[in-house]
Amino acid sequence: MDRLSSLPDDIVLHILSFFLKDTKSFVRFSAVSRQWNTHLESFVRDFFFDDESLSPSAILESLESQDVPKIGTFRLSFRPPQKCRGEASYGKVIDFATSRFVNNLTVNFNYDRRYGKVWNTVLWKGLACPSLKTLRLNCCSLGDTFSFPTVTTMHLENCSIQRFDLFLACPNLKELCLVDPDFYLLRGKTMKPGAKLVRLSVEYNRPTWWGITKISAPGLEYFRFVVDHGVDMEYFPVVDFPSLQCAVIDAAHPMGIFDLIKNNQKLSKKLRGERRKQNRFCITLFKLLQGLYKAEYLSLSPAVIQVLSMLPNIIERHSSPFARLKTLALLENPVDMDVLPIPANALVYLLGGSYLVQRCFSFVNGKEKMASSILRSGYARFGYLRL
Amino acid sequence: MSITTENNEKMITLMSSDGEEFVVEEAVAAQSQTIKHLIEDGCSTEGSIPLPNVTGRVLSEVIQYCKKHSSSDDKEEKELEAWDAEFVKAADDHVALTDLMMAANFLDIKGLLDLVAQTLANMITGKSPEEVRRMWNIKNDFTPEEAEKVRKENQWAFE
Repeated sequence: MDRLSSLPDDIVLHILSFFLKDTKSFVRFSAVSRQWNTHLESFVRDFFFDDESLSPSAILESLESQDVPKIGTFRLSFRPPQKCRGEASYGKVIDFATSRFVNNLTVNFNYDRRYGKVWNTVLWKGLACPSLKTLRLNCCSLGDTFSFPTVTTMHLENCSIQRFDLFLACPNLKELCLVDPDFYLLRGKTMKPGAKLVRLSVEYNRPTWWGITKISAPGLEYFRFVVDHGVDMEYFPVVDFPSLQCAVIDAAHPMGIFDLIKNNQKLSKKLRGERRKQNRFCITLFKLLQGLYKAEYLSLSPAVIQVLSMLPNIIERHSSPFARLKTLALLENPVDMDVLPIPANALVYLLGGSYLVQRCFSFVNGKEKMASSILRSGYARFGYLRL
Repeated sequence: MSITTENNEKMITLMSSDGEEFVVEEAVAAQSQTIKHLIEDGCSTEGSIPLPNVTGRVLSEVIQYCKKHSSSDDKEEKELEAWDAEFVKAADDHVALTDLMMAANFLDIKGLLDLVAQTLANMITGKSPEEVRRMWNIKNDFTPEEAEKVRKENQWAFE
């Protein structure tokens, strides 16, 4: 019996089962060999508590009744019944997850907006967990003391961020997704992620008071900026992305903007104010595009093309910044589902700077449609473009 | 071949992989689920039960454990625990313990298996993966990239 070349599986399993309560040793032994690693992985559990009616004590009870040495993904959704009540007990549930060295944590605080920012500091102390890689939070307020040094992916929805140096608190962040962020402290300042941030996505589905004014990210490769219908976006951020490869700008029409700008009739005082606001929308969107000069792949919504066609003087004065562009995609036009022809001057602006353009297409009903129809009007002027 | 002793206890013979024979009471041997099933299936009547996976040295230890535990039903638990502690101490190193654990696993003696596994678990508590590998001469079969990945992902557990 060659006892020393390898231990039988059930022997390893039996020995390891004594470490179910000692997560650190448990995980450390995963580095012994593939055999040990597989056994340990089989003990890692995921938990999804999506039923908002479950009380925190019931959740804790069910968790504690099981031998769980390590948690992979943990998702907790709850709706606080009343202001401030039950905060500590939900904190205990999260503490349990972090004591089992959770990797991916999702907490959905589906709180009533009236109660504002009460869901705060108690919970964030528990989140200083050295194994945390992915953090998804919904409807919460990140106080000024939080710090997630190991987190690489963060998804914040409806969160207010009260710490100015968000990226100092999360130095290893590679991917950040912000949905309706509330950056009160960042107003008028530059958002400066570290060189590690590779993907950034910002989505606005609700009107916001404090948009991001400036982003400067040296390592960013993917940038997505979405403004939904009905969001009265006033301005877009000025950006500087020297490593950019792919950009998606999906801005919807602000209400009524195009009718207003087209009309040359005399405007009332109120309408003049609206018009100023909408001019700012167009100009800052144009400046945002200028900042995407390194993009190889560019995806734009029909509204962006329309905005460009609203600014004939400006786009004709500027030469195209997109010197490295290879692919231009037009996002689906949700209004009439028809392919939008790109006006000639907009086409010069978008494609005229690059000799690398290989593909230009539009999404229609989720499928790619080839370039010729989108380029209907402007194509003839670009004999040198081999599309 | 079954022998019956003066107090009418049925005896059976166990044979280790290296040919050593042990005569034990059936009640003692039946603590091993494996042997119990063999007896129930009628294998013992034809002579000694061969145990090809267990050497004589290990088997004598196993029998020692079984004897103690079959005769001590009414004894105080504390004393038994102390005896268990002495017993694993006498096995002195992890190689002997591993042999013992493999035998307990093969013979399906739950009490002994738990006792030895617990002792081995105590031995590796706080040890690094390298030390564990050295203990059992386990080959590190990770590629350098995999090893780096495992270590990186679980950096916190090594600190």
